[in-house]
Amino acid sequence: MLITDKIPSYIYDLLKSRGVDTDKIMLASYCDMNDSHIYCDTYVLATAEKLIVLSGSGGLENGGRAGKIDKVWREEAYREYNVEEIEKLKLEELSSSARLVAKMKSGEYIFLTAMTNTCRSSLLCFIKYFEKMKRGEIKGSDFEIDPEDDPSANRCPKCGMRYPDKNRKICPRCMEKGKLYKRFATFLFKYKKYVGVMLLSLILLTATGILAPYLSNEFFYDEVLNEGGGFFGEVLLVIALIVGTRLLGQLFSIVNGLVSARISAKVVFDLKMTVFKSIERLSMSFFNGRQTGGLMTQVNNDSNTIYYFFCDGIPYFLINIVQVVVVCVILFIENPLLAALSLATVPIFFFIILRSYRHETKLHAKNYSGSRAVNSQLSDVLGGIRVVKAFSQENAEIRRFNKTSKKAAKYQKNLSLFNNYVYPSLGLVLYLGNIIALGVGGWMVISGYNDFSYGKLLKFVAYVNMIYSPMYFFADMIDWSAQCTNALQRLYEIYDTEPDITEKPDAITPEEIFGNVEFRNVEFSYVKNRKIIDGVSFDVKAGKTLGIVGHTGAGKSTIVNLLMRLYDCNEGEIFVDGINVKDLSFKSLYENISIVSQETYFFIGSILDNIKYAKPDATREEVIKAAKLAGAHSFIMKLPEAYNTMIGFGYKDLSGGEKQRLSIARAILRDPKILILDEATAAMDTETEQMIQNAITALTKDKTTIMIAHRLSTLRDADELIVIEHGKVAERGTHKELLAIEGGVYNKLYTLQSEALKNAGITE
Amino acid sequence: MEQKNEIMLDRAARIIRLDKSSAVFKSENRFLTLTLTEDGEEKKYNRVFLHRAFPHELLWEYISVLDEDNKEIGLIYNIEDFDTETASVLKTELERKYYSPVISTIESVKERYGFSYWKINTADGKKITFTMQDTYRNIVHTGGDSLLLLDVDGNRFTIESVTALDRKSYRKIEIYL
Repeated sequence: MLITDKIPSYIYDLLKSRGVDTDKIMLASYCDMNDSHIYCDTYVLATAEKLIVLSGSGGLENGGRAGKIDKVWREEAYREYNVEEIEKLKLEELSSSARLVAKMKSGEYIFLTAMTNTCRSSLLCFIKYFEKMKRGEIKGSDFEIDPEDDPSANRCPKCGMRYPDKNRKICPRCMEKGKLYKRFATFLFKYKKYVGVMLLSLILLTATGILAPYLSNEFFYDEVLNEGGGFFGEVLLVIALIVGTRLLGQLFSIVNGLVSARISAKVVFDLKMTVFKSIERLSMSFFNGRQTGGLMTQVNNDSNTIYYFFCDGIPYFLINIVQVVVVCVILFIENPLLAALSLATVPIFFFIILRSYRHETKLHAKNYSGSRAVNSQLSDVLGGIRVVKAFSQENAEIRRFNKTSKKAAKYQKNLSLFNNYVYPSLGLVLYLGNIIALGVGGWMVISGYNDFSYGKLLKFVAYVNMIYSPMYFFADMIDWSAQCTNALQRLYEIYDTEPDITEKPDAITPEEIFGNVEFRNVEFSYVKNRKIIDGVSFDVKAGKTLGIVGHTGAGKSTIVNLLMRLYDCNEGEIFVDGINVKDLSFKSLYENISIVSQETYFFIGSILDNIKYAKPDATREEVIKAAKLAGAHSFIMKLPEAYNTMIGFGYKDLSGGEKQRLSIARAILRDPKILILDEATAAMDTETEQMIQNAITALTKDKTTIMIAHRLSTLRDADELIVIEHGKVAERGTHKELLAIEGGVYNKLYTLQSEALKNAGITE
Repeated sequence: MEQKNEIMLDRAARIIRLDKSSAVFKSENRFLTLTLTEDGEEKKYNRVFLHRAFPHELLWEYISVLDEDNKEIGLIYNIEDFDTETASVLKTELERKYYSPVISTIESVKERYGFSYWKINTADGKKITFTMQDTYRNIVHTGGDSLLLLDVDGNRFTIESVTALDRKSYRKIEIYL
């Protein structure tokens, strides 16, 4: 039985009272609206014979959306349909709601219920199994459910909430800060020696810091300068001691700095590598939802934030706590009354900090978003500077930038103003404590209160001051820890993301791949319910060429993405040499498939490096051969630096045709068994295309080739052509066969294109 | 040839304007139907779908009418081009398609792990919780001081006037603006 959402027991009781045998229910799902798009609880249930739609509201176990729980179930509608009479169920997606519609065998449509998008995936699952039920693939209430359709797999086991992203089984609500830190601490564990030395040096540094005020104040004034002191007149000794402690402190500080410098580089490097590795292993779908630029900033900034928090923040935090505690103990032992008086301002300090914290966060957020807006606008405009110039919009862009920039400046000003009046006032509050210590302490020295001496007073004041700097640090720490938590969350978000496409543990690596490709009833959608590929089947024998034709958006490139396993198909199977691509090892798949597409991308490096990218161990001769075959050699040799010319972002800009020839050279060097040409010549003028055509002929020799092209003339020589329309194979055959179909899609497209070319003065 | 091209261009740029003189919309069995009269010929579409051309700016203008295969039949310039009864049928259909509860107060917004969790009350007295990802990008300014919030499932929520929100609610959304 498939239950996508919890169905309360009183619904079952109600069904029983209507004469439904609830043991026979095979599928059940929940929608949060009725057929008038009004919020209510609607249950859609199916037995082998009946489809039941029940709407109402209330009920004790209300599994619906948040709202008042009412003990009475108020039924609004109860409808039953014969499964026999239903041709199919359809989920029609509206913009922010969806509706479940039944197409009856009579041709009539019935509106079953509406729902918000939240219920959409449950209902899609319902429809999938409803179809299986109709086809007789599942029977009774005991049938197998695909793990990915299992509703419990998509919910947090702790709080029951649906994961915001099904592919990332992370429940943000149940993610704990403590665990996050603990997890990171284990990461740091491998640096335990360094961390230990750092902590030790910090402790010693603090100890010398605490000792210093005693030596230079109480000891110096009361014991050395005072006639009755134990070390009266030993000025040299005290100077030596003071210098000694200072030197020792300096030594510990140097040790700490050295260790910290060493470990910081290592940890940051390690962190960046961890994130980069995680990103590299992720599937395409992860990148589709994100800005790549954002990811880069994330890797860089977050590693630094995390490092400084853990290697700077936490040790100092601990040390400061120790310092505050030790100093407080000394102060209270020395003079409890004066200690209490001079520390009285500390709570006021924290009170102000906490009050202003919220406001400051807001100012920081605004400042951040302001500068982000300036940066993004800047990179946007500079990236598109040619378009700006072409439409002579320079002045408009300057005005736009001025506006954004002014806003950012205002936010920054507000933040600085705030900092400039809050922090000095905070300083004043603390300074007040200092004044109290001096005033009251001075009076105590004069009146001889509890033997309080001048030296002790100076020591006391010095210690009081030692409390203040940690206070500032603690105030900063609140913000700091929040930033670090965010960074850690983002880091682990990437780290924990499971790639959707994984290699099977027992994946097959055949000794040789011949290049037979077969698609069998393949279905695929990027977004649920919007099938891009709908039951596509075809096969290409090794060494043959298949051309794929179709309108823009018909799903041609998707077929290629599926073969390359950039995505996995939802239904059906794809075979290479009779082996399902899902069973093939990544190595054997990727080593034997190459793609040349309209978009060429070259990394920063020499032409040689870029051609060799496909086969890093290729010899120079092989590279030149490949370049010659691709028709690239001649233009490369015209460049002063020839194969060592640097290309890629910020270097020599090649023309479209040149880039394409390089990318073909890259593919030739790879020498794959299966070659995909995805609109490889689309961006070229006819003359360049002709030149590249020769390169392509060289490239496709003896290889299984899948060729996607807009310009049908380039596909004329293919062994077979398939025409894709709305994700389906509409026509199949050779160029001649397809052309012969009067009124066929191919025939129409071909006629249109040759006419257009004739108009442009080109005859083929 | 040139003439032929012009005709093709002309056809490509032609907008079929639907108004009360040519189109009759009805709600039949909760489905929207259209009877279109063109050059004296009547054609009935049993199921048509509406789609706003400028969903963030113009709610009742420039509405594309599509058939079951998602092909455009024509464009409604303004639903006021129809009589009040038809306009109300169209309005209901659009409101259903772009269903977006109006937020009256925001009870809480919690940011965690790249997602924000919202507890809100709607103008018609419902309490709703929803989750947003990448909150900054999914709060859209829709002219004036009205906002559109898009949650992780693709549901929409409207704030008609952000400045008219009560102080507490405003403070919760303020940092995302």
